[in-house]
Amino acid sequence: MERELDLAEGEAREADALERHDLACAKERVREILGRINPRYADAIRLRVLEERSRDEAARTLGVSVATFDVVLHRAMAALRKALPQGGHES
Amino acid sequence: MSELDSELDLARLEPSEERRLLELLQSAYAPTGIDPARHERLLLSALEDPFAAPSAEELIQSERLRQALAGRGEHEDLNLARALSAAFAASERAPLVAPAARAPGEERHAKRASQPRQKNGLLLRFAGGGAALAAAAAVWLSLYSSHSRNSSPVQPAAADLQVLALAQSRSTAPLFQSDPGEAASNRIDRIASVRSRDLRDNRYALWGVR
Repeated sequence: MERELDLAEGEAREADALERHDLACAKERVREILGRINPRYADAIRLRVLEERSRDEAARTLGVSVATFDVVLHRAMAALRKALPQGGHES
Repeated sequence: MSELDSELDLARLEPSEERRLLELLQSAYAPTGIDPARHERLLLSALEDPFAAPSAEELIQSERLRQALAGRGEHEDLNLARALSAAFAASERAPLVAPAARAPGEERHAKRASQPRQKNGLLLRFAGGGAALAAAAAVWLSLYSSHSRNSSPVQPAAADLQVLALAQSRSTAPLFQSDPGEAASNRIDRIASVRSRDLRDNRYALWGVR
């Protein structure tokens, strides 16, 4: 019984480590992809999508009107789509 | 201390810094080729103006995206936004440490972080565990491009043509070759003229008016 518990704990620790690794990889991937686009676009995505700031706050941070921010975010997403690696093997 | 001595003092560098400067000088003297994909990205990011006046189509699409992010309607970029959000923020929502092992302050923070972030009218949440989401999002981000390119084969072809039409990076060495008696300022003027012509041509190519 004790051995089974130890085994289960070990498996859980291994799963945790794998999850942490997956999370780190995913975050790194997002950072890397954002690094490929215009910094203003990256800022727009970071503020609104990743940090989930309000449109007003994001627009204020970028120094533009809310309407302009909406357009910038749309362009940013389009730029990001283009920047995504073809076939998923570019790094 | 003489002037020469003080110059010698200034010239002393750390070995690592000296190596870095040497590499920079060598790169400047004999630049190597740049990866075409990176070159394309640099060109496009340098030429595009994020704050340029929007077209009517861009206004429509940006409004649709705004609505979709607020949970009203659909937009082709909504899933991409979700994947980004999941990949980036999953660690905040997925407690990887048992709650009992946390200090009281950390516990409050973890509870707050694990609550669905629906502030500011953004609805980007998937249902499911954080780490699994992050992994799924990473895979999805990898596959997204090939899927979207396959589903609309016309756009990449147009984009490729557009890039081919742009001036490619090249050495300035030929621009330096001139009459020995030529003044340095003339050479600089010539280089500036050629480079500004390239820039102008690239802008025209991107605007589709060349």
